[in-house]
Amino acid sequence: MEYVKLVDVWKTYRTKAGSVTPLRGVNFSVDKGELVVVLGPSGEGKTTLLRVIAGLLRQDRGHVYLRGELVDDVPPKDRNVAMVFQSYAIYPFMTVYDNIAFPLRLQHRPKQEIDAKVRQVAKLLRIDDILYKKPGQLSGGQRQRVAIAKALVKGADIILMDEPMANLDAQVRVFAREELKQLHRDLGTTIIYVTHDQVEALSLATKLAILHDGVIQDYGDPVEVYRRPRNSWVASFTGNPPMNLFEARVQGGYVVAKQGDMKVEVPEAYSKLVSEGMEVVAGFRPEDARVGQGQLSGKVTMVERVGAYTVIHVDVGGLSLRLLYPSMAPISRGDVVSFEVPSSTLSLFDPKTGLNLLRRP
Amino acid sequence: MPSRRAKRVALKALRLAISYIVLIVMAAWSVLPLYYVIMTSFSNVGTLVSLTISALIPKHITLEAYEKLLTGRFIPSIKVPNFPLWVLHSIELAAATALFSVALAMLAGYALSRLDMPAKKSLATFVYIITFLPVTATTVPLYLLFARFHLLNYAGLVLAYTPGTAVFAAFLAKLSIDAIPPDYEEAAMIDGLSRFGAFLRIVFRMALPVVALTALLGFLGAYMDYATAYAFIGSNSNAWTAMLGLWYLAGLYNYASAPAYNIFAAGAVLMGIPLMALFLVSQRMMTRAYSSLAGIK
Repeated sequence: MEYVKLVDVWKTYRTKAGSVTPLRGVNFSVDKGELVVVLGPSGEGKTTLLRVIAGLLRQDRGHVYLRGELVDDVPPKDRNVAMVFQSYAIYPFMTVYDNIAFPLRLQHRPKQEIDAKVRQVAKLLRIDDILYKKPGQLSGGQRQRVAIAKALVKGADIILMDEPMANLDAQVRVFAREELKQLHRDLGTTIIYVTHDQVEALSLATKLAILHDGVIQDYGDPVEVYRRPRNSWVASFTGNPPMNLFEARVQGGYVVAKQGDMKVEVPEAYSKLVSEGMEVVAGFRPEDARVGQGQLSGKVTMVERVGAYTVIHVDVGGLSLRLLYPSMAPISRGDVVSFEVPSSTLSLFDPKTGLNLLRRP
Repeated sequence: MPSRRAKRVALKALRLAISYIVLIVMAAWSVLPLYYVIMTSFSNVGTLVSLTISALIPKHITLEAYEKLLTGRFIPSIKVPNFPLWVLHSIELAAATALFSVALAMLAGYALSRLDMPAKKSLATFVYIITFLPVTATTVPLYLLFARFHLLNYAGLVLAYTPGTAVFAAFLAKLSIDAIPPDYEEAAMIDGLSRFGAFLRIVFRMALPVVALTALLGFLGAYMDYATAYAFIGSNSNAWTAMLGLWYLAGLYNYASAPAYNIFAAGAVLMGIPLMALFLVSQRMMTRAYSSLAGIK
């Protein structure tokens, strides 16, 4: 069942400099119980999308359906969604307890019920020892827990999260991510989670959506999105470093780069989709290249040692590519390295539309 | 070297002496009039205490002036003790003005801060510039205008007082609401409040220092006003405010009556009490209001 559904949603903001249109026909549907991560560059309307779903913003065009019902005219308080803000938005003048109890008090629930629920949620998030503190006395991680507790206590089955981990320390973030996943598994709530952090997106998502240019560029299983991006933009956005892309032509069963000495066999999956002489944009992930073996060779122009791996920039007869070498590579600038790209890891895109040839447009 | 150290000590003593002299003079300058008023209020004669040094230390203290003030019927047509009635009127007017000022200022400030409307910036600037004009300058035009609408009464007075505070306070409220992240209201709306509910329960609470400041300014403005009250209700001693009554008692209102400065002084002291109380209650808020508006947290 499509639990959250957006149909051709447009939103334009007026600003002093003119107007911006972060959403230009977003079509998007989320099944019940999914943890959907919406990934996209900063300032491209991810938060706008959440605010439209929550009802805080009214879309200019299109429709929003929650639990199968049209909610365009339903105010946020009646949509029964919860939201965790990037800033957490826990009221500084209330104690943690009062913050968590606030949504329930607005529903005029009996006192004992409120107390029981607050304590239950607080225990779940392990903040039962700080219930009587004010938000000002809490650490970033604790505040985040309070914000999530507040979202859970309402019992809303749709939770929207706007970069809730952006303000956490790197070490805390890893644990917070794991806990969120566990929480999602336990509660089975539908969560829409917005971030610009790819690592977060790939590690959290049960479904990954990529938002760019006001539309959903790709949507699906995160591994699938990563390995077979729907279009060349998604390929160039995901991954760190992102996919290598180059213009090529199909010649005698090989994908041959137009510029540079680069030649890879046509992958089996694409064999029926391409014809001799066809122009394509080819791409492969830097980590799929095997450095130190194979027929291809390039001159090293730059070496970035990141720690766990090394990014080697090579020049292959005028075509510059990024290759990944696990751990610290014994390679320095000016060396010539050999490498190969397994043909099964190659993705081919239409040069005009940018779409992956494997997927339907 | 001892001589140099002695010089340094002497210089330090001199610096301290000068600062203390300046401070003591300034303190005396501001405390002395208050002391003088209080001493006069404890006197049993209606004339001003003559200003010799010896007269500053009272020879006998009586509460006669207070008694007269609290029980006296200076205007025979009023059947209850006059002054308490007038103070009550003042407090009612001032409280109503404070209430309306807060409501108007917060609504206007919220609109100026949050809502998307044309010419917002020029409007905010205009609002700010209006506050440069003295309120007293509007008394005569307001009198002429309100006379036509039969508003020369308390309702009219509150209507006339409110903008005097609210216009300036709206600007303060805008600045204060600007500093509150909109996330809090949006969170409140998702928690189950309407936009107006979020405004009342969250924005008001978070802008409380400015709300308190507005209320205090509104209260003060109405409580201390003489000119507008005189123009609007001066002819009806039954409806007088404490300020009008005091001027009457001091003989400045009606030159035919004998001046009774001790009663006037007692009235001034009594009128100061609610203000002092208000100020003490909201002192912490006031400090927060000023520092938050100055951008110091």
